[in-house]
Amino acid sequence: MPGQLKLAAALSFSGDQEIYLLTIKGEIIKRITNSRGIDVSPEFSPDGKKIAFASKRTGTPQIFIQDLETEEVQRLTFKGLNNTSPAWSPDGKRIAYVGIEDNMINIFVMGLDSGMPVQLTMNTGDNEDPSWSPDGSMLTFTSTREGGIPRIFVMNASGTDQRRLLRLDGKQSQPDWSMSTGTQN
Amino acid sequence: MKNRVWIHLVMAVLVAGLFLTVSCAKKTVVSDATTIEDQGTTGTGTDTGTSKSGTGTDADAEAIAQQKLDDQAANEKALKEARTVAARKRFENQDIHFEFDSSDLSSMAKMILKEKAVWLQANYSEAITIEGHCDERGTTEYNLALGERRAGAAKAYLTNLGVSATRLNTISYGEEQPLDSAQTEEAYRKNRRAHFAIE
Repeated sequence: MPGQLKLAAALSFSGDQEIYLLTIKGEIIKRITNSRGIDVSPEFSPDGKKIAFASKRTGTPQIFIQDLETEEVQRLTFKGLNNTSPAWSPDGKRIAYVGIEDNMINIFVMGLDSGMPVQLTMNTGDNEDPSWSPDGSMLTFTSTREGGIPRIFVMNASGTDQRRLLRLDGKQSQPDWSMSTGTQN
Repeated sequence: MKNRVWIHLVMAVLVAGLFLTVSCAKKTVVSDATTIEDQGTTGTGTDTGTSKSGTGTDADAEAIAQQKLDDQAANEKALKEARTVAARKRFENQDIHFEFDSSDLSSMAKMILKEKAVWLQANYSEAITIEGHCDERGTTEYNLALGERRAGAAKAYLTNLGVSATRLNTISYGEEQPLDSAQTEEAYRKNRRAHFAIE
């Protein structure tokens, strides 16, 4: 959680995957979601006031946003039958996510004000796990576009200039961009 | 002088011939005696020998019968073991399958689970791990959750059939262990499964 030593996680001890707010020691502070069906992939908003997650509460996996204080829930995605893996942009105005249509797995981005999804990848294997650069200008992600093997790629936030970042032995997947650019000495 | 030599030679031949004749005659005598002895044994044992011979037959018959019983028991044991092994293999090899993005049990899945419950009740010392698997569509995190629900659904059904929950462990492999890595509907169908591993 931004600015606080708390974390969100999906736990299934109740028999149903739900999202909880935990201390860093793993003690439950509160249960955030309470719905029958899968609730996974929690992502805090940059200000730490809201949480985005994937939920199957409406029958198909969709992205929802919940206010941590008021517990008000808002459904973000309506287009497509399978939308998961939300990633909040550093400015808090956009959410990137993964959508599946016609068995194609692609990355989309949606402005919270517009509610209009923009597809960033297409016809290039499976594309998953979006993560924003700290300045919000780029996204890193996993793609199987090269021979079906997952590799880590980057692209501009508009979807242009997609290129492979790494090529190591085996598979590379689920990148996460650090929130600090740091300084090089 | 020459005559003497000839006489000696003739004598030597005669003596050698006599020896050969005697040894052959002895051989014949021994052979005859053996024959007589054999006949005598057979002859004297005619009355008592009959019962002796009868006991031997009964014993043989008993031995044969016992052998048959042993063979039958061994066959039955082997058959039983083969059935046990086959039932165990069937238990492990028969997966249940799911629809896309679903953890609902189909009627076929329920039928297979009922069969598995019977095996588990007959093999009460065995514990199993139910593995939930997904096809590759969907993200890693979501599919881990979906696989967990599939394994959980199978566990709940078996528990309702009377199998102790302590014998049923669950694990989700999500999309990480496809049976078929092709990107076809047929491959996806195979991969959406719960697998049952005996611990």
